Amino acid sequence: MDDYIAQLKKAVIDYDMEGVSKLAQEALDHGMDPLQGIENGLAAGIREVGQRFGAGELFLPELVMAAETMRAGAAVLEPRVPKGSDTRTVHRVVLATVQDDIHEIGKNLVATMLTANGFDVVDLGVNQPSETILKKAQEVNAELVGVSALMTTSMPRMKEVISSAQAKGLCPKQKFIVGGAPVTEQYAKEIGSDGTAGDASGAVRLARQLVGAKE
Amino acid sequence: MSGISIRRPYPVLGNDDIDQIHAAAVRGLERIGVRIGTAQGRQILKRAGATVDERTQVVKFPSALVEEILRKPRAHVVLYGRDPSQDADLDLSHVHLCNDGTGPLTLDFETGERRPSTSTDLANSARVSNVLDNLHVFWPMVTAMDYPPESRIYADLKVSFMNTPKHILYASGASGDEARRLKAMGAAVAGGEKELRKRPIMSSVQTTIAPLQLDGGMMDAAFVFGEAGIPIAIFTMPTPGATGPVTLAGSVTVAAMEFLAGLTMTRLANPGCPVIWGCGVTPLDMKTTTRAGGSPEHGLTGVAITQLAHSFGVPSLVGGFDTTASVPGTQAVLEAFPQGLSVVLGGADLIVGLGLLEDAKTLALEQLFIHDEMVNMIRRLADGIVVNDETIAMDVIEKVGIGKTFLGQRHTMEHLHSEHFIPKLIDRRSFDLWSRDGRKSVEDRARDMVRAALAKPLSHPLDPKVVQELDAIVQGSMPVATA
Repeated sequence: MDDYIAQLKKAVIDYDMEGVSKLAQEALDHGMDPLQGIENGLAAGIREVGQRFGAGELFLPELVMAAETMRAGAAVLEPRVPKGSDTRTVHRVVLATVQDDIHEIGKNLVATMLTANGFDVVDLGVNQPSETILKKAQEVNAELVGVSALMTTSMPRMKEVISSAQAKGLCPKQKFIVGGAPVTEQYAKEIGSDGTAGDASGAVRLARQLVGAKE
Repeated sequence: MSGISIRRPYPVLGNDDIDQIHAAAVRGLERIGVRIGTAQGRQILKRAGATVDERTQVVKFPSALVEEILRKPRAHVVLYGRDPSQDADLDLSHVHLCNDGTGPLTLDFETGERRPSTSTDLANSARVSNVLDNLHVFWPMVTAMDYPPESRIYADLKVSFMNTPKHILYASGASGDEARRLKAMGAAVAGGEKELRKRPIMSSVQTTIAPLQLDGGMMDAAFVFGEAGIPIAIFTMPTPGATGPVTLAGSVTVAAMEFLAGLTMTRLANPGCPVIWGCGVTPLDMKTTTRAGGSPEHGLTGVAITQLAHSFGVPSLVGGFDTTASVPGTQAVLEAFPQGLSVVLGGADLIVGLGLLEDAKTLALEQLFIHDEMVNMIRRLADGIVVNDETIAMDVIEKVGIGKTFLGQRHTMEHLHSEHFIPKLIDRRSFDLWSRDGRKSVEDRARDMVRAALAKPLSHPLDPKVVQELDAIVQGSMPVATA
């Protein structure tokens, strides 16, 4: 069984997006515990790839391919995890580009990186009104909300999201991070957010810190 | 280490231009001639039909003689390394890089003080050069001022052999005797004269004196090297406006006359000897009276001479990436980039000029990494855009579809490293991250790389017995102490 777990880990490290589903099915057929396969196989693989990316050895496409591999493998294993036996802590994040802004490259990178690092990301897309973002965050019980804006004209919408959350009493239980080219650390502080990061890797570090997740 | 290939060369001369300069240079050699300082050389030329005036030492070349030499089959020049994986094959279709050399001054790596260069600086420059992505040939970057002047050139060669397995190109040999001693050092390292002839691990740069003079000692040395099969670069450097016409075409023509005179003479003396056309044609700055090594004109003349050299069937050695700046920084980069870009895209066979400041005077080790990054960027430009089914990637465009990402596609990973320049030195992080990490400048980061390079163990160390032989030759050149 250990052999299949090791093979699943290797599939992620080798970015075997095409072969991982078959491997996961075969592992299940041979009696592998699906939770073990996810935790010590797929997730262990993505952690290793993530570390190598952080050290500058790997590049973004490699990280994303590893994440895709993990996703494909998990799609086979997860439905077979017996109900109630899943004791994993999943940190859920809602991401959105604010209303009046349609720029999402940076936000998408953050989504990718967070997913690759084990977060459960709900990406609402672009041009999202504050109310929709906050409502959705409540619905999915997100610990963290990330909003982005590229244009200085749409930046005030980020403040609107946070002020509205404060008025509803969602803070500080729910954390809010902001991002986008014009955002500085000072601006993030001014509008009452829980922080910003200069790039997608920094966003992962910040998110971990805010939800109290381990490396 | 392979040279850089240029997908779409960027010539500066048209075919008509090449023909005009060629014709003018040959006509000039016939009518005006060149002063040839070597008696041996004048004799060889006289026997071949040149008109020699022994009083003025001026030699006039019949055009038929020059054309006949140019019609002879060319010698294929390979600059061999002690380590064969470092060979630089000057096949006229790849660009190779070489350090700038013989700097008398060094910016001390620890203190920043500008002081005379030492043999330790030379060793360090070789060790840093060893780790660069794009350095094919080593020119002793500084001269060992801690040795007496009589021994310096031998000490420079010894220290270079000891610290790099790359081919060593060397501006030296101001007389036949000097050349013989240097050749003996090369033979000691190569394992004998026969081995040295088979794989010459060193080559020599012989400078002409503009306008239109070939120094006697320099050319006598060229005969010795040529006879031993050691490649010779005849280095022409008229200064437009001072020792050549202010017009670049005029100065290039003067350079061509000097080179063709040298080529004819050395080929007559040693028909098969590998010859390179070296050049450093850059204006005199008319305000400061300095040589403007970092000028755009330097980039243009380097390409023009490369094109002429190729039309003659010989490789070129051109100045590039030069700067007159006194310190590393914006000016150093501002001058080096356009000039370096020009000579790389122009297909120069060997570009000399990496790593020194103040127009080839002062060593700053961090400059080597800054130039290496610059070369990597220019290398990307030289590689251009490849268009075919695989690169258009219509199947991938279709697979990803509308509104999705290409990041997770195998196509992305497979082509990333050949399609995108990936910086080693340039910092593309956001302000906040850069700031939190100590706000390091490009020079700071290059200095970190210098430290790492100097901490690396030396590859291909010389056999201690060979070092002893080299020491004996250096000792033999020392002035005898007088009581």
